[in-house]
Amino acid sequence: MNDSPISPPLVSVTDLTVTFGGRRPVHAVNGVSFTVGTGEVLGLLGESGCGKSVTLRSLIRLHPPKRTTYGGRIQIDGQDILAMSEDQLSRYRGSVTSMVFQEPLLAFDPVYTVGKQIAEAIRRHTGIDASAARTEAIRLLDRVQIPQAAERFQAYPHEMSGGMRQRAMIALALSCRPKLLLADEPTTALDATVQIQILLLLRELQREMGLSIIFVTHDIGVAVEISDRVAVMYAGRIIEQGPIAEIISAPAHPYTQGLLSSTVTQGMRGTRLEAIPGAPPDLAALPPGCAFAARCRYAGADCVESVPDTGADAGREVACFHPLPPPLHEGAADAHAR
Amino acid sequence: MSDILAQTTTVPALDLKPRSNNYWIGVLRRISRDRLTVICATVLLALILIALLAPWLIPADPYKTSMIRRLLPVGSPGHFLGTDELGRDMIARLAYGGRMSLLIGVMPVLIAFVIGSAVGIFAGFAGGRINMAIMRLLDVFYAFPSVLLAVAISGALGQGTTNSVLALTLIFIPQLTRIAESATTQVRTLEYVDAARMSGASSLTIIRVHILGNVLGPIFVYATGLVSVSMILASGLSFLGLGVKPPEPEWGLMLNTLRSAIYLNPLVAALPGAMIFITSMCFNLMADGIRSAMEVNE
Amino acid sequence: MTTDTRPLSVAEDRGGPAQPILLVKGLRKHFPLGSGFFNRNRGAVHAVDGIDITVPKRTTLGIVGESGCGKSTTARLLARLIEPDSGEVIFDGEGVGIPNGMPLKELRRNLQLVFQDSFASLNPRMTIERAIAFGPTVHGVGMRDAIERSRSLLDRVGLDPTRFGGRYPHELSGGQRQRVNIARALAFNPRLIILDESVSALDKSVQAQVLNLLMDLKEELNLTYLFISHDLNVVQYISDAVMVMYLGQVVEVGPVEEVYRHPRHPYTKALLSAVPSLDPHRRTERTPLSGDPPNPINPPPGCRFRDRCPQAHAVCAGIAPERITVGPGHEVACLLADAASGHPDATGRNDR
Repeated sequence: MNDSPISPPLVSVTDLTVTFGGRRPVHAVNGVSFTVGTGEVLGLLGESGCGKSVTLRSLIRLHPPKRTTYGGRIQIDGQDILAMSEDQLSRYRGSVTSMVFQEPLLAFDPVYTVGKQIAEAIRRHTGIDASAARTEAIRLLDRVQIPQAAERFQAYPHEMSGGMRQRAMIALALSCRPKLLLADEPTTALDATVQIQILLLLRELQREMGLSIIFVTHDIGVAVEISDRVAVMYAGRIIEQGPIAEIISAPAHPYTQGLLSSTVTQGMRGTRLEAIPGAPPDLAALPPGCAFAARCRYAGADCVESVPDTGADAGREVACFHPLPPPLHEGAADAHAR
Repeated sequence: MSDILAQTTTVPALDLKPRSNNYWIGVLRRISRDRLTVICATVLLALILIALLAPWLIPADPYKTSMIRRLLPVGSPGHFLGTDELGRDMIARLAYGGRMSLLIGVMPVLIAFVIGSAVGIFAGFAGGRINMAIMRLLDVFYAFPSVLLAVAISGALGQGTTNSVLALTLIFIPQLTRIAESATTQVRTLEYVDAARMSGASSLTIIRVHILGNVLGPIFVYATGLVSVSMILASGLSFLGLGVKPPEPEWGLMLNTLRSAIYLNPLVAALPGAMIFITSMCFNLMADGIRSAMEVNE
Repeated sequence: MTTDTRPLSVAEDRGGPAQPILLVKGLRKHFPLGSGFFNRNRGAVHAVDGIDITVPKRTTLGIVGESGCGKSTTARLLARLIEPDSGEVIFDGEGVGIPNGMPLKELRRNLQLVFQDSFASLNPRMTIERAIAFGPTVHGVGMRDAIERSRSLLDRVGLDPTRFGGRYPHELSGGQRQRVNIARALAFNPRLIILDESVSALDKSVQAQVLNLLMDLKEELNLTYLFISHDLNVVQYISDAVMVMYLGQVVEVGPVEEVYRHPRHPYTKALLSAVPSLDPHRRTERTPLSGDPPNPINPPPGCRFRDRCPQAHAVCAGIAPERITVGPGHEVACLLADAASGHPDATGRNDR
């Protein structure tokens, strides 16, 4: 599960920054570093505007080139993504890395059938003939558990239900046998009953194909269902990362803790929710220190002055001057507060 | 995949400065930054002022003919822009002609704006069968090309300024109604209109307080763009002899009467056409500028 | 603090605490398909198909279900934003939409709605203090008093009126806008507020703030909530009773703890087990339901859930299950709960 010392990780992002130009430049991502091993699922967790989607899209350079400035380094499968030419990039997209989105209607051309688009992608990638590509496309549709795949091959995107379209998009994304799948909130627009089906399907495909997945979500429950490790983002930085079980049971960053305690779960009935006061900072005018300091009840003078580094500690990283101690018993966080 | 590129990630603007920003002040500020729109507006303002103040600005009489000074070229002493086929001063004719041309360019649009907005907003807000009945009726007008329709209506009504204004108004009403209807239909489905209905307010109050402010802008922009069409059509009617009667100066009519002189004195003959072109283009560009200044929202 | 500059007084409690504030019987709305000249009678969307609701005073009723189950249509029907085809609605003992019943304007003063989309539900050309003041002016309050009240309401929902009052909706964040929408509803001094996915679009940390605010307001102003949401955890947190809808019908209703702990309808069970686990050591292993929620167009006879139901039996195609009581206030519409239904796995009414 963790990156072995022998083989280098599939994805290695070092100090990535993404800035969108304009009169007030927006610093959407401010020095993000993480790695993803082969066959590992990393959850990128955060609230709207935290830079999780921007980070994900940077991995295939999906942002409009004219107004986007990248910094740092993205290494995927031994290739330097930020140094690629447009030609190399279009060959790399889909074959090494492919992406599934929240809204599958955007990924499909409305005037062609879903099956034809998948078959076309297979042909472009492998060069096999049309009938073989068709057979392979039907096999893929069947693999993503679309009932009556052969008939659905003829369906247009708008003729499918939301869940079916999402499955078809996964089939399209996997058609060129990528090593890395980028998932941008693919289940957010779906009903919970369908969402869990898609999550289980992704987990199954991931295991079977040895895929690496980076899964962006705002929903802790979804992150728990899919990820091995999770990176929590806030104001364009990763503030904490580590194995999902540890993050959930012992959050070290006050923001992670706040996010967990403000997420309504079973058994919270009758208690008052511990909300995080205030709102995230303006990305066009970030404070010099920790971006969370203004909302943090543990913040001290040092937090306002400089940005805390991520201190690595056995696969666990926390960017905080005053991390929470691991809880020995219930109420440890409260004791810390006093 | 290209659609996905267009879907850029928006970053929510949080806690701005604690000042309040009036929407229209913002629009004006954005217009003032747009150089082309400012230039067009200035040119139009100048044309309107010259037309209005012609009796005081222009010493020459636009009706005074002179057999010996016919078709003088541009730059002649005493007649800087030359004279027309009856020896009348072109500067005076163009300035006075602007009065009529601008009037029949703006008037039909203005009347159609009022009527079209009222009908369109009513249809859009009422929805259902009422909407369908009104809109299908107006579709009948769409079946004919507007130039043909203008000619037909003014032909039926007879020559005259009032009649050509009336003809053009009738042509613009369906177009503006359609714009008003679609803008209203769009706004009506938004939840703030439902919220207003939840307040128990009457339909009239909802239209006045919540609909008008949000639909008049787009209708107005469209109407501004129509002024140029109106001017060209009006000139066309005059050219055909269906609009303004001679010897009244009007750019379209002048273009018609100077037509015979095009080989003798092409520059003078082209002048009224140039005026029509400049004015209508300015109206068009200004409409575009206002539209983009109004779209910046959120 | 007191919110009361009340130019609009709270309507009096007529029937006393025992009388439900809202009583709905057989509410029905079908939307005909195809409105052209040539394709009439292609059937209808059975958006809401004969539902009964009882909401006691000062409680919260949660309504859950997948998309297309009729939750939001129910909200709009109750607010009379759309006219129901049939059904009785009684607001604190007074009939709504009947001759000599409660006038519409009066109903809407007592019943307010907060929508999901915080941006679309505010007029973009109106400052937020005016947006809140608009309602009371419709009911005859002077503009100056209305603005004053609007500012005190802004303060109550946690927005500094001097800083925010003159702002336009696009200058606020989603959470701030939703607070404005709540304040606008409160401006009427309503007794029942329908919250239609009102916190669903908010980030979790902001959602918690708004939920806390809603709980405080309910206590302080003796409010009753109808809380519509697809988030089962949030519904459990805020509601006293919960109603589960499927394809325009109520399949189960009861006290929230009872329904969550002992769901009787297979659909309720499936919904509950589809909620993502928060324990990494106990992830969901099997999908509780296969397939997508079906369209509510011309639903088949019998039980509407039978196509997706793991316990469906031939009898389910023939009999449309009635709501039967299985515990105090706990009702379920499933043949499994009726020993006399002929379903082989059916158990008795009081059997658990």
